[in-house]
Amino acid sequence: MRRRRSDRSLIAGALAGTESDVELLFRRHWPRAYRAAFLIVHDHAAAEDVAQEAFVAAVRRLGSFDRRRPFAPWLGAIVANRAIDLLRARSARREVTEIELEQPSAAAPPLGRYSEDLLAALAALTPEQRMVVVMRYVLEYTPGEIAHALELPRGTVNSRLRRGLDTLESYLGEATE
Amino acid sequence: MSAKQQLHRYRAPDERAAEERAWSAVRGAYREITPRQRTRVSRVPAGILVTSIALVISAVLLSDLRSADRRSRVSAISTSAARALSGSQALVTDETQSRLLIVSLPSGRIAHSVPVPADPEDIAASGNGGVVVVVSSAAGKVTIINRDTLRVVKTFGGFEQPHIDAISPDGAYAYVTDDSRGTLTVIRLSDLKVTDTVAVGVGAHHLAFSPTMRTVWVALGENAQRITTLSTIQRGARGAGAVPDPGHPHVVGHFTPGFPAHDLGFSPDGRTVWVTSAAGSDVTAFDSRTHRVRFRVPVGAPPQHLAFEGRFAYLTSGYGSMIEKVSARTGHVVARARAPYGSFELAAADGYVVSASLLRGTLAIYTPNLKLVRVVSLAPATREVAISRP
Repeated sequence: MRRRRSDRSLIAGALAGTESDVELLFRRHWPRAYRAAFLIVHDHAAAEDVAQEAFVAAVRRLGSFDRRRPFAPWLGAIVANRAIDLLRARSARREVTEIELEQPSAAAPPLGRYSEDLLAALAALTPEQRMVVVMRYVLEYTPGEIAHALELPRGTVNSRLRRGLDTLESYLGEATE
Repeated sequence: MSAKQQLHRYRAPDERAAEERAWSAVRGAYREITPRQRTRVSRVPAGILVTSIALVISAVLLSDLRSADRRSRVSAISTSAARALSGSQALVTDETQSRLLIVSLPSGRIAHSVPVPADPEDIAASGNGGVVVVVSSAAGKVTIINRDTLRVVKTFGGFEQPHIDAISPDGAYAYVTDDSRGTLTVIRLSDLKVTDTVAVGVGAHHLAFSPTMRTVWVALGENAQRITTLSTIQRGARGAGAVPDPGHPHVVGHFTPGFPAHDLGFSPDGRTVWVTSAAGSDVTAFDSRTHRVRFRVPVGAPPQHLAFEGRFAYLTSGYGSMIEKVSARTGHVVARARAPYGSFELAAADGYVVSASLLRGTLAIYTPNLKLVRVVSLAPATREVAISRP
């Protein structure tokens, strides 16, 4: 049975021009990147834009990426920062309305069982809190990795996590531990 | 279930489809910025090794002479990397509010808007980067916009009723038809000078370049009984070696399609010219040399419009609320989808197909196989659309 190739090996392959390695890297990290973007911006189309642009930016910067560092937190920071930038720019930018065709070609998939509550609770957080909560519990980075990726003091990350979880807990009415 | 568990288990809808669209964009960016795969040589014979070392030494000695060339290559790589940073965008003319809208794909968000002279109708973009050409009919003006900065770099006046523009396949020239004056105006994009204005016939409207730029067809009217054919080969020059000069086209003949024609386009291999109808429901493909009918494609209520991408043609029927994907070689329909009413104009590039509805003010965004991604409402009336990246 073949061993799963490391991100480092895939990046080396990508830098050597092997497209299949870029694809493996992309498919390995896309679901979490997209999910994280969506949970921050709460808009599937915008999340797709954010995650896609983050991957394109990451591919462009692969040559300067320090391969001793893990790839996932680096990518996650790009996603989270772009998502926050989008949220901040949104108020200054005209948004378009999405409409349905008279006969839509396919029904939109339903939200998950807990999604509506979860999204409502996340919406109550500040963008900064939402970013660290999503990075911690969706992307599963350690507080140290988040602090390093976002260039924040560890204490700031921990306090945002604590306040964010407290708010989520009060909205969801559930114990978080 | 705790907040942590909910976050961990959350799955966004449509993840798989979004992944495929994103991979298409990421792959495109990777191909732009990455050199070709290196070839490994396992064993090198001694003679070849000596020759290789000599070649390397020669290359080093010549390297100073090539520094300028290297700089230009580095610059080219940086430019393409910069382009790759930004995703594909649809450029849409907002006719009643006199704006050019820059719309992110696939989200449909308006990223920018650029004011342009009154009644912007047609639009053409010189590939990725370069310029955007917007034709404003009521104002009688043609606006050239820098694609990267989105600043207007020049506005040409003096037209009576310009309607349609097209950029030559090499990106060097913009052609603009003026139906009142019956002319075709040629603008050189490198220095933004008009190089020629050619009388082609009253009603000059849709036009199309052949892939080799040697031939241009111009439909004389929205219900054109005649099509003017032009050549860019200097008079007297003959044979395949004759170099086209798109700066100075000249009329070489006229062609009667046998039905009121509207839009037209050369297939990517240049063998057929597809002519849409202003009266019937079919699009007709003519042999580009003999002008004989090769095949007809049923689409829907007239007028239809068309765009080619790769091996396929995309055809719309705005009044029929229909868009089709058709084999450019055989004319067989391979996919079909509904479109918002009034979706006359379309564009296909960069892994997207988009159509703008003049009557609904929407932009419909599809995958290349015509799976609808979304429809967004942009303005009261969206007329023409192009796809490009900065």
